[in-house]
Amino acid sequence: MFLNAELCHEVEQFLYMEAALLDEHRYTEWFELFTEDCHYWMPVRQTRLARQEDAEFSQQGEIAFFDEGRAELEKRVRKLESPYAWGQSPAPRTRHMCTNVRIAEVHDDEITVNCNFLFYRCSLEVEEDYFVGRREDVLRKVDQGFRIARRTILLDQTVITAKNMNHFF
Amino acid sequence: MASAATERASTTFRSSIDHENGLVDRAIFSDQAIYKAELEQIFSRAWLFMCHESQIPNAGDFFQTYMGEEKVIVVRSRDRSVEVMLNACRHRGATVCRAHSGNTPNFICAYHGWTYDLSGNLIGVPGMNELYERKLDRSEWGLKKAAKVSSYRGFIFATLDESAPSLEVFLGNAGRYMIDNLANYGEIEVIPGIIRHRLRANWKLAMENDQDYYHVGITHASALDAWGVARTTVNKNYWDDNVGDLVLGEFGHVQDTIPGHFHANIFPHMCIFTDLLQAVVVRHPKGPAEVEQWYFSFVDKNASEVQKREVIRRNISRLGPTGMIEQDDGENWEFCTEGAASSAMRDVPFNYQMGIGKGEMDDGSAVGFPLLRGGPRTTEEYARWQLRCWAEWMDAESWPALLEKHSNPAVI
Repeated sequence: MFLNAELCHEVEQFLYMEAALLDEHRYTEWFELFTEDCHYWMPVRQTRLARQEDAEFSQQGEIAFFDEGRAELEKRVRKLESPYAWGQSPAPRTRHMCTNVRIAEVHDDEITVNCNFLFYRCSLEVEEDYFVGRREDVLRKVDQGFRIARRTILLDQTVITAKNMNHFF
Repeated sequence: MASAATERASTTFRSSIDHENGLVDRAIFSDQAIYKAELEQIFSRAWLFMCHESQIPNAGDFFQTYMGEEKVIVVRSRDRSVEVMLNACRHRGATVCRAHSGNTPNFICAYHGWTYDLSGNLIGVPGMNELYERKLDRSEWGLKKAAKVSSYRGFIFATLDESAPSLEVFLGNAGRYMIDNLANYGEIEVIPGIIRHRLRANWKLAMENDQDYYHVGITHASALDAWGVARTTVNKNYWDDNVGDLVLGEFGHVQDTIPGHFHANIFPHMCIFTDLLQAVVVRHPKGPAEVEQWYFSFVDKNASEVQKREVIRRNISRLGPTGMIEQDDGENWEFCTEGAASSAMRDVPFNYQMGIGKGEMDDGSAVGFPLLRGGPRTTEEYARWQLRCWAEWMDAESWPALLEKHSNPAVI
């Protein structure tokens, strides 16, 4: 596999643009970045003994925080955009940051990209939450750029300390 | 200087709960002294749900949980029995188990290496010969155990109180009915993936929300919108057309019976969702203004893959910090907890007056436990009953005293 600097740059710019859509609360536009067959998944993590670390995460088909196809994702977008979404009224200030972007694999029109993320949320006066973890994305090349075919979100917390996770990662 | 609430804590909790007039002292949701008393009077006495048998099928399987703020390990021992032991080395108190769940041949303290077997027996002490000159009697220094462990239809419970009555008595017919609603789905097992989540809220506010139909149309309006549920189906933003039976159980267990949405609470901290969902939520207290919620999802192990997917989909879409329903609940409980701590309104009670005197109490001879029949489903009767029972737990000097003095739901 030959990775060129141009592809790395395009992928990074795509991820930054996507993060900006979330931070600007443009959820419908963000949702349009997903493919028809997309899968958006955040498994549940547990603290395990060192010798059982391979069993940290729940598996596909088990319980997850998010296990969404396009239809489920769309409902979550509609909820965030509802005038009755009290958690968005007023909207928290959010900052999605992704770093350590690495292209893991290029296969035909699909690019597997790993990154670390830090998602900061500040609500009302002094309510602050930090969500930190790792993401594995499969991007699909289309005429206008990329679409997200798969997103796997691996949080570092095993006990969530935020009052909710009603935003996207 | 002692606060008014602390002074009340030293007298009687019955005075904090005016059941007849629907008035509740807000201090019970915020006061540190009252919280400390709850750990002693409720969480150190009650039978508490630990985990389900399906989570620890094999010898050496363990699941770590809490009894109040006490860390405990639930273990399947070599003889297949279930042990519930305090996760604290008898030497200096450090934890001997550092994982949520797993499988292990024994438990080793990372500080000095004291080692315990699956039944909590102390089997290894570094320096036994040279440092202790073999004078340490290992049989006296095993892990401390829960006073009693028992199981009902696969649901393992434990209590720290030697004088507690049997689990059957604690649950009563009403409590057993609530568990039956979940157990009757078949040969049920816990689906891997226990969601754990902390909120800055008092544990009782989470408890009383389970049967609160008043908030659904308002709090969850955005979820209803997203799902395309016409808001008119929840009438004037709340359900007011449901008339039916409320289960008011001994010691504070309650359940609604709205077809499609069963919400039960085994006092103090086990919530059971059935009919639409198949889940148990446990609320571990972490202070007067903090609670850790654990979500267990259940499915019949003989269900088809399609049925299993559907159970998982329903649970994921509604429950936990990402659930489209529960995202919004946490927000409310945190603000209520803040409001409960107001010193300017210390003497201003919370209002629990909805539905007082509605419905007729039936002694339940037909079903085996008392029911409040014919009242509105959107009512605060559930919460009034839970808090009346809470006060009885708090005022009772012992389990025998609670057994003798607790209210009988059939004669309220």
